[in-house]
Amino acid sequence: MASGSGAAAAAADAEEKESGSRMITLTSNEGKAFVVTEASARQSATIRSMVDDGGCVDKGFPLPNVDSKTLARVIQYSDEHGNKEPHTVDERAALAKFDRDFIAELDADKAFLYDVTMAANYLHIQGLLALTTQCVADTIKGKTPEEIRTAFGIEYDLTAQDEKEIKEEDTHA
Amino acid sequence: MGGVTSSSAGGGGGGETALGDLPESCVAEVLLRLDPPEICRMARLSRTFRGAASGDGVWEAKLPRNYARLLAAAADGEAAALEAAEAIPKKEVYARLCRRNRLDGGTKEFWLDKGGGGVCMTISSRALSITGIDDRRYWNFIPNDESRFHAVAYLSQIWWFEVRGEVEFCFPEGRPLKRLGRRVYSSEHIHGWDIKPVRFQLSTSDGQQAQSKCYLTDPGVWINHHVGDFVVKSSNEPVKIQFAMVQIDCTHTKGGLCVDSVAVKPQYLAKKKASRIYFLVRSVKTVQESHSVLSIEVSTNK
Repeated sequence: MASGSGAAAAAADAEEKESGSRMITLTSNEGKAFVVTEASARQSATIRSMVDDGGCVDKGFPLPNVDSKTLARVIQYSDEHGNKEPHTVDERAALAKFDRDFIAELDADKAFLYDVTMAANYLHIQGLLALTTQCVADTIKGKTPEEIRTAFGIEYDLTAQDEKEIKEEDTHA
Repeated sequence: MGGVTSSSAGGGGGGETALGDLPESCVAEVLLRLDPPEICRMARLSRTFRGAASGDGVWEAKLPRNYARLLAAAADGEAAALEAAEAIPKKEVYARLCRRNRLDGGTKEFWLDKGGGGVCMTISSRALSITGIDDRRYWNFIPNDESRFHAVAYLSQIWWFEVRGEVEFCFPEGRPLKRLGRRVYSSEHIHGWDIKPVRFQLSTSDGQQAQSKCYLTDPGVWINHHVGDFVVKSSNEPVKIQFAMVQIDCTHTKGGLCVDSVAVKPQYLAKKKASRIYFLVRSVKTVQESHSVLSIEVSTNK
């Protein structure tokens, strides 16, 4: 990643980092800028490592794989988890409730759920990824491949070789 | 709503994002949250799911932490096996461990429970030390098709009833349940079990102990007798488990019992963290004669 910040700038950066007041700009693939706290941005392991490498903090981070709607929702999650650290039982319960409501909304809009899942995967936001993939897993659990293909419009693209392997698996089972 | 226009997914031509648009790395994350039979089922969905379902990352998460040791045990301690564990795809490692792997000359078998990944074990009556086993007036090994080991130890009658055994094994932490199953065969000669209870004992090399007692009633039915709970603290340290079933009140004889095996398996149902041990006792009736089957179950909780 880009370096090039002088020693003085790096020192200033470090100072700012300590104060926790640094803001970071994330830009969606539509060019829309979102300004978030560093604590929020650090929920993403991808951004965290870029920030820690120094460099491009001032320029902000373009996210060519994430659109504005998805990014806004992802930021909603990382703000909640990054900006507040739950200390009390009540705070933890509040955060758990936030997660429940958050995923319930996504669950009702599957296309958006997949978008957020992919963004969480791309940005390496572990907590969010766990939340969304668990939701997807719960959706397909207990269904046969045929049912899932029909329900979710998945194309049957297995090759003859795959089918042969599946047959062999069946005879071993 | 374009959503995440992943370059590899090609944008999907402006339609809404669908399950099939998830890249393999996302699908792998989803599969992590399913159990092994479900993962195998999802491998029949599409190429992407198939790719993700054979990934090492997914299966490594499903394997017990000490899978390399288990694989070596399955290979009967062959030195090459430990190295090989790294080279074999993790899905294959899982499949191998799910087979019945024989130990100690075939008197013990262990395997992974396909659904939950816990280690199960069964121990033949031949691997047990039974007081008086060499005296045919008391005990005999008799063929039995119902037995996993094709033979059970049959007690005609005895005053001092004592059956002990032990197993030393690297059970994975937390997950496994040790179930020591003994099957006891009794003909019309079932007697003496209603006077005093049989005692079940269990102890581990790291100082855990448990015991229980019960009357062996109900010839013709299988009954589980819980022995106690224990915790597996480290999957890299072999733990020695000793178990016993005794009734040594010599004022009366008892007999008509078949001892088949001791079983060890994971206890997923219990919510406590501790491992659980219980003896499974059962008596069954065959066409020709009634016999009771007694087993001991030792289980550990998830």
